[in-house]
Amino acid sequence: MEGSGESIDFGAVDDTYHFLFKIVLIGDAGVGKTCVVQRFKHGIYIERHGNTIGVDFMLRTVDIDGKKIKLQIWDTAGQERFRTVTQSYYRGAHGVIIAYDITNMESFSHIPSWVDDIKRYAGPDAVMLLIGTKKDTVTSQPRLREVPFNHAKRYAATKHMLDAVETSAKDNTNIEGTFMRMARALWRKNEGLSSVADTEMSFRLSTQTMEKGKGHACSSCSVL
Amino acid sequence: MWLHWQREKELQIDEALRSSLVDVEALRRHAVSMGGLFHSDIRRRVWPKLVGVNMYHIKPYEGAPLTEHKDRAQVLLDVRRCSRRIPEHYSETRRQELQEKLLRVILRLLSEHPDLHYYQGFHDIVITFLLVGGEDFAYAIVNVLVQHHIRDFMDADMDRTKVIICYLRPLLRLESRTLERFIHKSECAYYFCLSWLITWFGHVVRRLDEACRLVDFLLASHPLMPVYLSGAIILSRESEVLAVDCEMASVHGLLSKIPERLSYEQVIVMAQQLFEKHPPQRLARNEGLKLGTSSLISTYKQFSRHTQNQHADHLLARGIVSPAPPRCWLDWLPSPSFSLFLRLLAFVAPVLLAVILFWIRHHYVRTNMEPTFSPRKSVPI
Repeated sequence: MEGSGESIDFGAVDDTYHFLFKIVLIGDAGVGKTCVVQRFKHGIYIERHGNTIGVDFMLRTVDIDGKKIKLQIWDTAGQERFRTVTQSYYRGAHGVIIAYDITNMESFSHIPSWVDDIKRYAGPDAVMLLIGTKKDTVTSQPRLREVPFNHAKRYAATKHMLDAVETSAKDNTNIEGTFMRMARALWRKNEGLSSVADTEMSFRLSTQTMEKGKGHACSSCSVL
Repeated sequence: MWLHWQREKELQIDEALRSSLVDVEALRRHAVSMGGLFHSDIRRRVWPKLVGVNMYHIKPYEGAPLTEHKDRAQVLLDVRRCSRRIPEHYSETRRQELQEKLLRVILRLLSEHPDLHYYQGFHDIVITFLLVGGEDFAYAIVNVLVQHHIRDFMDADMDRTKVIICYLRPLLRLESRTLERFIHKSECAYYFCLSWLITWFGHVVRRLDEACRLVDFLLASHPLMPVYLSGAIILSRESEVLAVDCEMASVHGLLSKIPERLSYEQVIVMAQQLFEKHPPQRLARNEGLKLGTSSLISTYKQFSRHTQNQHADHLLARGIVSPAPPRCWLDWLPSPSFSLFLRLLAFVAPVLLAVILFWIRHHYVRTNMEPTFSPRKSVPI
């Protein structure tokens, strides 16, 4: 729910951190992306949260092995027509979480086109994680499941994704774990790239450079 | 209990509404000025006049069943999620009824205009009208808006929506070069105000009365006014913006949230001043944009004239139809979707042709007739 419910403490509390990672959350409209983000940020489930128009944005700092990792999460609109807008937020993304609805095969069948977008606009190095949403629904009513978990697992493996995870924002299943897993993977990947001593500042700088370097013209006129 | 200024204003609005030919200009002034139209009863009477709708003559829907529309699934998804916009005191039954009406109004509009495409956020515009005046009221007013004020947003793609956003940058540049440069340097795209523009702020305001106040203003203004209002909101936060890190996330994060304490009355006044100071033509020139490509801009004059000649409700209720709007010579020219140059050319070309033909004929006649009219010249003296 862009601009209404959420409060973000800019520069007030969350200012100290060792690493900053940009994560983009994408997937079809109505799969429950905003519910996932709200659960992760505020620890609550809002059933009727409204739709996202364009992009929404939140921050949360997590602790991994004593390091403060700041996650900058961009929650995007799912409707097809907004894609040309949301694509401009992919650039410089370190991680992308692609969401589908376990009870809706169509949302899963669109994953390849979302993956194509990631390759094109975020770059080949972005870490991808596939999440199925609304697990609580199939737990209580198994016949509503349309996407078998092993299909998602197999697809994630063929696309070299980090993993496929089934989640529920409603009963808080695997939400924290999903983001922690992404954060850990990004941190490890970053550790592998350079020594710990000089990473802390340089990574942030490289983030900025990456964003500028991969600049993608998002429209014919200068919205940027 | 109404305040003194409200009672005064209501009397003046009443007067404007009752004169046999409604004083639309006066209504516009009241809708824009401090406090706007301030009450649903007044809004139900004035909003239709601001867009030239005869509430006593609403065409019944006769198209295909609404259950078959291609956008139905997406609309249904958004309608189910619109609870935030429904007042808290509504019972569950009343909420459901309202959502059913919202779905019907949207699908009816989309079915009647097959060239229009639904976008997420359109329902945020419709619901404000639905809450104020009911199903027919919402349908009739939004039916005008989709053809004029929000037409560009309803294309198959978002190209023209992006062009509308592009008007914001020259506005900021002309008003505060420091702020415009800061936002540009941060690489923050102006998409943080996308939802403001395409929902007429319905998506981001917190209360129905705030949404209504903005609708008062926007219905009475130029269709590009949401851009000026966005500009006013951003400019009113200049010092806050300049204080954050000059990078995309910080700037986007700050600007995409409308502050709780924002005075809408103040930004409305500011938006009007900005509009007068930097009219759309100036912004277009400054940014190299073509006004003619936008339907909402190019059809405005036609729309505005349409609202001028409306009968008062007591006459419309008796079935007396409003007189035809005064014809402007430009109306005789081809569709406003063409640029003004082409339209003028279509008018001027036949005239030019006639002049040339006349000149040729005149020349031809003179050379042929000369011997006949001056026979004496040939007589030697």
